[in-house]
Amino acid sequence: MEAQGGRSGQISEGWKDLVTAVGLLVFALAGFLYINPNGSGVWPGPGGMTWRTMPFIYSSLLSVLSIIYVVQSILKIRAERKLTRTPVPPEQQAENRLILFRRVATFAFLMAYVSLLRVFGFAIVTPIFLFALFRLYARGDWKGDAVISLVGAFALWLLFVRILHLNLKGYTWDPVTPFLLDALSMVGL
Amino acid sequence: MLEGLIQGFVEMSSLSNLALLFVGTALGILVGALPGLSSPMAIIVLLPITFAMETLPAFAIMIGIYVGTKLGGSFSAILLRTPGTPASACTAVDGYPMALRGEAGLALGYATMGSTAGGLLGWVAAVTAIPFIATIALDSAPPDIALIGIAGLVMVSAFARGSMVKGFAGVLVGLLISSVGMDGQDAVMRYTFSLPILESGVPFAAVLVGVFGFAVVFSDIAMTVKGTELLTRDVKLNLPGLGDLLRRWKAWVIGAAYGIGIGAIPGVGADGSTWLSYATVKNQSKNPPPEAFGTGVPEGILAPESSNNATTGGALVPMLTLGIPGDGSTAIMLGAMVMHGLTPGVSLMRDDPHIVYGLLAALLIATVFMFIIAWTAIGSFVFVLQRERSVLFPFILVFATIGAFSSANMLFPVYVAIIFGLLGFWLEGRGFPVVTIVLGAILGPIIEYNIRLGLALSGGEWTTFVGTWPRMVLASVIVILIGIEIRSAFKARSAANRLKDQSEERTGRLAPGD
Repeated sequence: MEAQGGRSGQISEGWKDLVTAVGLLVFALAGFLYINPNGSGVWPGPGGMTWRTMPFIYSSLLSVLSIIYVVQSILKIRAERKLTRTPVPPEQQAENRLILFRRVATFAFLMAYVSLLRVFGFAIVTPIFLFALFRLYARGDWKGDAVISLVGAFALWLLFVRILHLNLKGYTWDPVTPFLLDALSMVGL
Repeated sequence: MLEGLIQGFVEMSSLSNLALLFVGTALGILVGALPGLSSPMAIIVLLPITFAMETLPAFAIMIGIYVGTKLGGSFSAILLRTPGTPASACTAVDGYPMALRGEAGLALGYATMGSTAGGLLGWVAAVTAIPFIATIALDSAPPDIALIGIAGLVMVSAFARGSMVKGFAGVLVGLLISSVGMDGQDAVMRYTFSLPILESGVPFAAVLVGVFGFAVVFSDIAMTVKGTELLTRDVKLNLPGLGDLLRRWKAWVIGAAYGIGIGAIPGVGADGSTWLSYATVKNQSKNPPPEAFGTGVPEGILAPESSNNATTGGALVPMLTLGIPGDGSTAIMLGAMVMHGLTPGVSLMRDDPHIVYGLLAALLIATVFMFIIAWTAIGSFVFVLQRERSVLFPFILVFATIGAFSSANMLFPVYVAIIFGLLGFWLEGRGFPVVTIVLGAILGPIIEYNIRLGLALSGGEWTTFVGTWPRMVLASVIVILIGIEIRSAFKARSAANRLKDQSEERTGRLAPGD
C-alpha cells in the first residue's frame, strides 16, 4: 500500500486526526470545568434534575468518544508509518501551497473586513474587500476587478442599507454613506 | 385539512409570494448547478433579507431555493461530471455518458422530468402524512418529545456519513453549545464566563452562517485554483414525451418511494436515497439490462433525480410535525422559524397551521416553477456554469457577514460565525458530518427541557421514559440503533484488521523472491 506524503512537509492524516481528537477532549473537559462553579449537585434529586446534569452528561459522553478517537488516531499514525510513501508531484505541491495561501489570506482579509466594518462603514470597506479577494483569486485584469467591486458593492449597499434599512455606517470616518444617502435623496430615491 | 390547504394556496398565491417563490426556485437551480454551493448555503446567504420579511414570504423564498437546488445539481453532473450537490453525484453515472454521446439536452430533459415527478409524489406524501402525524404528535407528553428528540439525534449520528464516533461527537458538541447561556428552568448561567453577551446563548444564526457559509467558502477555495471545463456549451433542453416517461414509470416511482422514506429520516437526506434507488432500479431492470446502467440509460437519470426531489416532501414531515429536521436545509428553516417567533415541534400544527399549510402549498408551487424555469431558461444556467468561483466567493462572504451581523445588529455574531466557520471547515475535513453539530444545537434545549419537565411531573421517576408503549418503542429504537452502530464499528474494524493481516502475509511471502 502507498500513501502520498514523503518529504512534502505535509501533516499526515493520522496526526490531523490526533490534533482533532485532543481538541475535542479539551473541549469536553472544559465542559466539566466551566459549567458554573457556584452550583448545585449533578445527579437528579427528588423531583427531577439540576441545571448541571445535562451538560455533565454531554461532557462525559464526549470525553469517552474523544478518548476512543485519540486511540484510533494513534493506531492510524502507527499504520501510516508502515506504508510506503510516494512523493507528491511538484505541480501538486505548488497547487497545494497556492490553495493554502489563498485560504489563509481569505481568512486574514475577512478578519480585517469585519474589524473595519463599523470603523469606516460598509460603503468604504466592501469594495476594497471585494477587490482584494478578486486579486487574490486572480479573477481577471485589475480594471475589471475594480469595476465589479464598485458596482457590486454599490448594489449590495442599496439592498442592505436602502431596502433592508440596516445600519452599516462607519462610526470613526465614513464620508461615503452620507454622500450616497444625499445623492439618492436628490434623485428622488 | 383540505380547508387549511386551500387557505395555504390562497396565501401563497399573492403576487409577491409567487414572485418570491419564483426567484427562490431560479436561485436554487443556479446555486445547485454550481459545484461547491449548496441549498443550506444559499438560504444562509439570504438570511439578512429574510429577517426583514414576514414569516410566509421568508419561507417562500427558502422553499424555492430548497426545491430548485435539487434539480440544479444534475446540470453540472451531466455537463461537467462534477455534481453540483452531493445528491446529484449518482446522476452523473448515466447522465454524463449520455452527454458524451451528444444527447446532453435529452439527459437534462430526463433529469427535469424525473425531478418534477419525484417532487410531485413527495408533495402528495407530505400532504397525506403531515396532518395525520401531527394529530398523533399533539397528544405527546414531555417524555415522548424528549425521546423523539433523542431518537432523532441518534438517527442523525447513525446514518450520517463517517464513523459512529464522529457522528455522536458532532451531536454532543452541538448539545454542549446549546447549553451556553441562562438555563430556562433555574435561571442559572452556564458557560457564560461572566460575559453578559453570552447570557442569551451562542447566537444560533451565527452558528448556521459559520457552518454553512464561511466553512464552505474556506473549504471550496480550491475551486478558484482548479478550473472546470464544460462538455458542451450549446445545450437545448429536449424533454421526453409523456409516453416515454410512463413506459419507464418504475424508475421514477421507485426513486420517489426511496426519496420520501429516506428523506423523512433525519440526517440521511438525498445523498443516500439517490444511490439506494439507483441500485434497486438497476437490479430489478430487465429492459434495459442491469449491465447497461452506467452507459447512459434514461432510467439511470430518472431514478436518482426523482428520489432527490421526493426527499423535499419527506424531509418536511418530521420538520413540521416533530420539529426534527431531515437535512441541513430543513435545519436552517427550523432555526429561521425560531427567529420569526414560531415554536417548531409538535405544537406548530396546532398553534400556526397557516404556516404548515403555506409551506406545503409553497412546495408544490416551487416544484411547478422548477419545471417551467428549467424548460424555458436552461441556457442561462449553463452560461453561469462557465463562470468562475472567484467572482462568487467574495460576494458570498459579504452576504454571510451581513447575515450574521443583522441577526443582532452587532459584530459579535460575525466573530462567532467566523469561529464556527473555521471549526466547521476543520471538522468537515476530518470526516465529521457538521450537520450533526447544528441538529444537536437545535434539539438540545427541546430535549433538556422535556426530560427535566417529564422527571419533575413524575416525581423523579426515570421509568416514566418507558411508561407507555410508544415510549418503549422509541427507547428500543434508540438502544437498537446504538447497538447496530457499535456492532458495525467493531465489524468494520475486524474486517480492516483481516485485510491488513492478509496484505502483510502476502508481502511477507513475496518479499524473499523479489
